[in-house]
Amino acid sequence: MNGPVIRRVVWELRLRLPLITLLVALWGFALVALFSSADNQTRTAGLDGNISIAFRLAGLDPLAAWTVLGQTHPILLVAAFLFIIGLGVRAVAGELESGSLDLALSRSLSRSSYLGSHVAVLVPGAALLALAYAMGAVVADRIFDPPGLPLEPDRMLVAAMQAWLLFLAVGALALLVSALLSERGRALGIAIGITLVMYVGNFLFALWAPLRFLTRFTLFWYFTPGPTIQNGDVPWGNCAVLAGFIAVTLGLAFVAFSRRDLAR
Amino acid sequence: MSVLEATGLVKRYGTHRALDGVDLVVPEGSLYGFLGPNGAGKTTALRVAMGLLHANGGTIRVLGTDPWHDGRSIRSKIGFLPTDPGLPGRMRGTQALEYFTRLDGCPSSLRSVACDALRLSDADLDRPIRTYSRGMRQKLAIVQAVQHDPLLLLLDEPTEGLDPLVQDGFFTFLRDRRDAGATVFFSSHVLGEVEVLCDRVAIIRDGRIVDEGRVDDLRGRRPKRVTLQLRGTVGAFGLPGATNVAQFGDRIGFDYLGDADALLAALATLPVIDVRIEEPGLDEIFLSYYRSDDEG
Repeated sequence: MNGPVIRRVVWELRLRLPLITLLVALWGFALVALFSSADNQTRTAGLDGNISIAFRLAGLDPLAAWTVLGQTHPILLVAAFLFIIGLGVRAVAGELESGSLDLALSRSLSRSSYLGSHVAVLVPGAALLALAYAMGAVVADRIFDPPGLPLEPDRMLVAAMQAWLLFLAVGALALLVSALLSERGRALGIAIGITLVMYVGNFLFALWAPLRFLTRFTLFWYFTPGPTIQNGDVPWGNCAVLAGFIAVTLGLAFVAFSRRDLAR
Repeated sequence: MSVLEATGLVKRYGTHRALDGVDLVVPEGSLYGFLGPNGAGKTTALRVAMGLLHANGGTIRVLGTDPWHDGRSIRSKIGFLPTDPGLPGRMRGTQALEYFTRLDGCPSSLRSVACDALRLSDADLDRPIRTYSRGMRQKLAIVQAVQHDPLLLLLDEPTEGLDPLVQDGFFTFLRDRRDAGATVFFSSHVLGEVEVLCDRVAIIRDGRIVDEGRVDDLRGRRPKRVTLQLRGTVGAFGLPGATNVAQFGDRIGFDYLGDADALLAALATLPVIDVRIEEPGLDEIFLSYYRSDDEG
């Protein structure tokens, strides 16, 4: 890792990262606030909390289930992936296309150190986004005190860790694609395409029994914050799969980047 | 002693051989021009020398080291200017120069000298790079390449975008660096600047070095252009070593490659009023290789 590269990347993200983090936190906050407000309204209307009833019928804790929906919602994932994929793609393909990679690597800086510097920004950046949602939801829960069981901060923290692993897995994939290509647009398209196919595939494959086994080949199948927020269960197996994917993909990215030609 | 030595260097892109057995020796303390048109292999050779590309064959040593495997150890002694250098547009000029300095911690002892030579003022350096013109970006990129006083400068078409006044200051700066012991290796397709600036030159065509040596020696290896004005007309002109003979009335022009004695002896037999003997310019030498290629 190289301090100046890390500082430069962070400096260039000085507006984008706080903005996306704020949006994600607001999303968590707004969802709980909406839950509280909507259920209070239906209760005032004598309907005794329609949202809560619907979740209870499904055997779920209403607020916890609502929070899980928010964490797996495309709005949150798109916001997080915009940052994660953007950072990964820019690391090699983007910098190579713009010509700044040539200048950086003309100094006494190894390729692994250069790529490691981007990973060093990706890891806390993804953690920040994952924590922002949990923080927003927990703060809203404390402020509005919606009916039913309160959100457990420790469970939300573990769910945030799972989101962090998912974000890092997608980030590692984007870094690998970036390490293999020389055009930012192409790398961006491929990284987004793979992520989208996995996200949609995770739903579609589950609909038809013969293809259901394919869901295991998507990262999203291993992202299961529901049991954690609902019951405090930690799906360590899924976490291990995501962590393994991150390690292998990052390893491949380092190997590919250190061996490839940097032609423009 | 040589600072850059390539032997049989090959670089392929698919089936295309960008470098096809390049042999090159750049002596220490020289101003070395690397001449060729676009696509001849200049940029590829420089990128191989910087360890950005891996050669498919042959060997290359830069400052005594293999740039692909051990390039990191020598890069603080090299200043590199790529084509279309990508500077961080959101930074100010000074910030960018500081950033490149901090990457390897080499002190920027030559920054102010280089800025002066390139007419890059403090006010310019205080502006965001995205507001720079192309020439300004090129100047800043040159400063980042030279500010740490490197032993070897590898510059890929450095004068692109520089106005003549700035070019003049830049050339003086490069000569000063050469006089201080640094080696300058720069590629160009502008013949005039190589001729004016360089001690030695290599001409590359289709990935092969077709000629190499001191600029004066290269000239000596090519025919001189001789133009005669005679008193009246003479019969058919012939002289061993004369080619491209053109005879129009009382004027004869021809290219001559051979002993001066033989030429003077031949001229003494003719009723010569005026004679003009022109050294071939580097452009003619250069073009002769490409002309023969086109004709071939």
